[in-house]
Amino acid sequence: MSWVTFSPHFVLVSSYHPVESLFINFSISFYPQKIKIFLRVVYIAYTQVYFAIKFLVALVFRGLPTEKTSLITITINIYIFILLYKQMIFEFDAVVVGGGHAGYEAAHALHRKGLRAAMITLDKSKVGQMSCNPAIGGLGKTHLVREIDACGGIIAEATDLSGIQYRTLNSRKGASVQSLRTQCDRQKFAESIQKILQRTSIEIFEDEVVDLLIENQTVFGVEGIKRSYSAKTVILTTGTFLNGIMFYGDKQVEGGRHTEEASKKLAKRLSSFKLPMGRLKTGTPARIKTSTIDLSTMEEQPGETPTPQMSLREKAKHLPQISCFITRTNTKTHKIIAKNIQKSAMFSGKIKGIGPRYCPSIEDKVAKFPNKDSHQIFIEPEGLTVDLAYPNGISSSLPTKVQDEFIRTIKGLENCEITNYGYAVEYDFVDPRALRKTLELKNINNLFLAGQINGTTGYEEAAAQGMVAGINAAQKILNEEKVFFERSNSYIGVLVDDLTNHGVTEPYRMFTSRAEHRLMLSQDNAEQRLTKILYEKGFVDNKHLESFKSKELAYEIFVQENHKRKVKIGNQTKQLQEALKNPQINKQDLLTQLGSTDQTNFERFANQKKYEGYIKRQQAQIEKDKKNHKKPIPNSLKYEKIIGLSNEATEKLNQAKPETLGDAARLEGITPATISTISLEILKYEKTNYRKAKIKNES
Amino acid sequence: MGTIFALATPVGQSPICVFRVTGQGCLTSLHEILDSDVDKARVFYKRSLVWQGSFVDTVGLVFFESPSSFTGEDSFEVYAHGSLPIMSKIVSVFEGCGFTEAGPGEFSLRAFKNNKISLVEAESINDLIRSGSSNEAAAISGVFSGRFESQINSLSERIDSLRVLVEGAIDFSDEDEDFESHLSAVLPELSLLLDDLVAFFGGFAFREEVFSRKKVVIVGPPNVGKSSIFNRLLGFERSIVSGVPGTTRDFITSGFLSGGFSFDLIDTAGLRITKDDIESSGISFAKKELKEADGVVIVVDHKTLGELDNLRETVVSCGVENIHVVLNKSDLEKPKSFPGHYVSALTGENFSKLRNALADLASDQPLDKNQSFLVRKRCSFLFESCVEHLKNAIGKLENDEFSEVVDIVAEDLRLCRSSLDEVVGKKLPDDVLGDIFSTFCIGK
Repeated sequence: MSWVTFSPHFVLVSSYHPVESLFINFSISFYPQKIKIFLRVVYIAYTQVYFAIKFLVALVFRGLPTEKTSLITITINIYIFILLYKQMIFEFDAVVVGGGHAGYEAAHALHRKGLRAAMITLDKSKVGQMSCNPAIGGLGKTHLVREIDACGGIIAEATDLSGIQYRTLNSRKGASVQSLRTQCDRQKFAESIQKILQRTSIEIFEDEVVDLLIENQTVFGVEGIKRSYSAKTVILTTGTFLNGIMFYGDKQVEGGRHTEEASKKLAKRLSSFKLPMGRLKTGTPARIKTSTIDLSTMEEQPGETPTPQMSLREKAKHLPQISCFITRTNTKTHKIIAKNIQKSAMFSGKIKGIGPRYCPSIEDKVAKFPNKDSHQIFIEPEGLTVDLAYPNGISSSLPTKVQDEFIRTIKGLENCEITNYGYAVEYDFVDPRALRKTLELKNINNLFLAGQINGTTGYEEAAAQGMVAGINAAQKILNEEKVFFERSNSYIGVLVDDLTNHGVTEPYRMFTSRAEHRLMLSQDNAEQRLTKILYEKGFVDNKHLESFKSKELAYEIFVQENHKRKVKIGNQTKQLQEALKNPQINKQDLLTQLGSTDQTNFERFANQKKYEGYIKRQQAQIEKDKKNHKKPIPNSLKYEKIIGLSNEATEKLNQAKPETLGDAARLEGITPATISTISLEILKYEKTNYRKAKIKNES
Repeated sequence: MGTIFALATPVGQSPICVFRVTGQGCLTSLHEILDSDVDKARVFYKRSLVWQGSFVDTVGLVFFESPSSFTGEDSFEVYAHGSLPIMSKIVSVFEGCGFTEAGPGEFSLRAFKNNKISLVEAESINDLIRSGSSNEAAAISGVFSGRFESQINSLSERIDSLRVLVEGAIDFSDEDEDFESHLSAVLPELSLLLDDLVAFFGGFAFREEVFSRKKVVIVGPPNVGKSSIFNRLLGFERSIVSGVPGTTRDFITSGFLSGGFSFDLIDTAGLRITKDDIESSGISFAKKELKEADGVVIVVDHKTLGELDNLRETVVSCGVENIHVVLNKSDLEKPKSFPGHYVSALTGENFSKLRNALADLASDQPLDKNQSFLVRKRCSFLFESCVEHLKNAIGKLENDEFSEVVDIVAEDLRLCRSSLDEVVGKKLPDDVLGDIFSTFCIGK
């Protein structure tokens, strides 16, 4: 079979049918798109004929089968044939490139809508991998996770299947700013995701995507090394793999994650679309063998009891829970870092990408805050069964030797064994202002981008975008209405809105302060905000809706029964709903007075009363804004021609191309005066168009 | 944008008139209209203005190069002799150059567009032009000079720095930095801020109030010379003056400057019974005007002295308290006893007395010297809401445990700050986060 040597990828494709590999190799190397498709049709026809002949020969020589076993065999054969047939025409509703947090949520959303989705990843075993610290949630992030959960997504479920420590941050503060954080067993988390995906119709392929198939500004598939995949929509979730370079001090390695290769070809192809692109960086610390850490010298931070759960849906069965530990750097550590700071990739000027300010490397912290002689380090266990810990707080791109040296000055880490060293990774991202609110590229139809490729950081942010892209890809395929998340109903809405309107200047991370409707958006009311909407769009199943409805019913009954009940406060007697307006009230005492044990519904009612005035005001504002801000800005509106807009505003508006007045209003440097000018202009524009149309009709 | 020009001085006879011209590239036209070239910006030149070979006028000329001019574009100013024929000649010269006459406020608009002035400043320029008194002008310049914005800026910066502490305590509670310990500083600073805000807002005068002019209505029997008095008070011809009774059928309103304050003078058709429909509708309007008037000038002449009591009664019945009775045509005949001013619209006799009497009307509402900023009423709503939210936040902090209400306080501070958005620009959440990162060591 000398012809297979044509292929530079012989080793990879040899496991496939020889005829297929022939076409594939030819198709990649030599032929233009149309011939490729023709060849694929020929190939499918060939396999069909092959099966049909085989079946007929059997029929002629043996006649119709009579025994039961033969019937079963034939049925199975036909079934397998259909399966194979489907497999062989690599024609999908959607192809998701990447199997990270954006990838799995995107694919799963498509699956929930009953569409055929393919996930293409470099390594099947890495699907759902947590590539940075092994924790899900945190301030602002938990809101995202719970919202995804409320929309039928899977990240929360996987978190509960792998959670080994739960803590509520801001537990003493108001309900809207509380956030549950979960430490996960890294391996278990990825396994859980993979298990969940196995239960679906999502087909996972190990391949490297090297090209996008595009005609007339519309994508219709991707080209892998092994074969090409045609699809109605394509979702790119390539994370840090686009032109990724890892920096270990002065050593540079191409790659997206430790020991994993970068996607250079795809990056090259993307840059040929003239998308606005930039470079960002992020970092990760060394990994340490837990058995070599002296935990007894560190402050223990146990999980919360009773163990809460991330998913608002079904009751989770928890794994055994373990603790995290806290230690600190000291002046000795800082001295070593300061002495070697020029050797850090960040400081030597090799890295041009912008890193996140809220996640600085240890050398950054030492340089920027020289007066602080100690920084906190969280020792996070990587799992129940692995002997590995993640020292959160000392991410570094110093040479490995220096890392060895400074880590061992830290209390409890004196004799530790380092398995992997910290590094910085620099990668390409696409300016998300090139995206619509659906995360579809403005200038390439049916191509969606989600996750770190859009300049964000964090599993939760990636997963949220993946879901938004998946949902809207599904809607587009089925020609159904787009699904927009609003700033007023979700952190997902804030995320998408911030990205598409403001772009990013550093890796974007969610914070509660980004949400102006924060008081209305708590981690506990995600279902109340989203589940029904997403059910109507077909992304939430009946079972989930029913469980949500029964919770709502229980709450209504609780309020009905209790809101007017009299409770004693000191010497006074008050109605419960009045008593709860005072934030100082001892809630536990009230609950005892009610003789109820329904903590959840009581808390919910208490919060509703506490925030009532503020929420009413916000809702009134939202209604007002909705009217004004949903007004679409016509594409052909020329900002330069509007009298009264400053040059600065014109420039910003031209760059951002806001879709609605609301989008324009949220742009930086756009004043209410500018907005009223534009809205007047739209009015004028509509009038002239109306008049033009009228004249046309009349003539 | 093309080149525009405008007469910067009032139309009418004056020693000098000034034309301003602005527009990118307008300076190239200069060598077409001057007898010799000018080469240095911001230098006063004396040149002959020539058009198509014929001499127009000897003028003074200064030019400014972009971006160092009021509008940010190339501009020049021409100082010519202030006679109407010369003005109209110059206008035709400019039109010949392809310049167009500027619309109202177009110079300020261009300055605004080219980021030379802010919107608030542009608005105040317009007010400065319209302002009637020196106190008003000073208050407007308070806004125009940026003093207003710089004060608001410093107040909003103080709100921002409090937000850094509060938002930090919420979003970075799991960090090394002990935000909770900074929170104790929040309440005292909030109270200080409230005092300062209230003091600052106390210095506002609202232009709607200041610019609401006193209304003075002139009434009287027909043909006593009300319009002549009106014109005399204004200093130029405005009403149609004729000897035919009932000539004035509509109300003519005009600005009237007296003692540094602005008035509206309304000339009415005489208050009398008429069968003429148009005029009778005029009379009912006159009564309506009387009801809204701050002061009334009743004009009679020696022939109609008998109607004075009736008129006074009508005016009093409309609720007017401030009444000036005037006997016109004092040059013709002066009755011995008359309870008011003798004036003559023809000779101008006693008009300074009348003007002073009217000025007293306005002087009961002078602009307070302490009121240093003249702003629009719209601003006051914003500041009221700013103060309200600040008070809310303080109330919460005084009564409750900080951590219990930190999210609510944060909301109040956000709203408080966003009421100032319109004046000082938005503070995006990302900016607040940026401040947190630069102030505190955040991050694991």
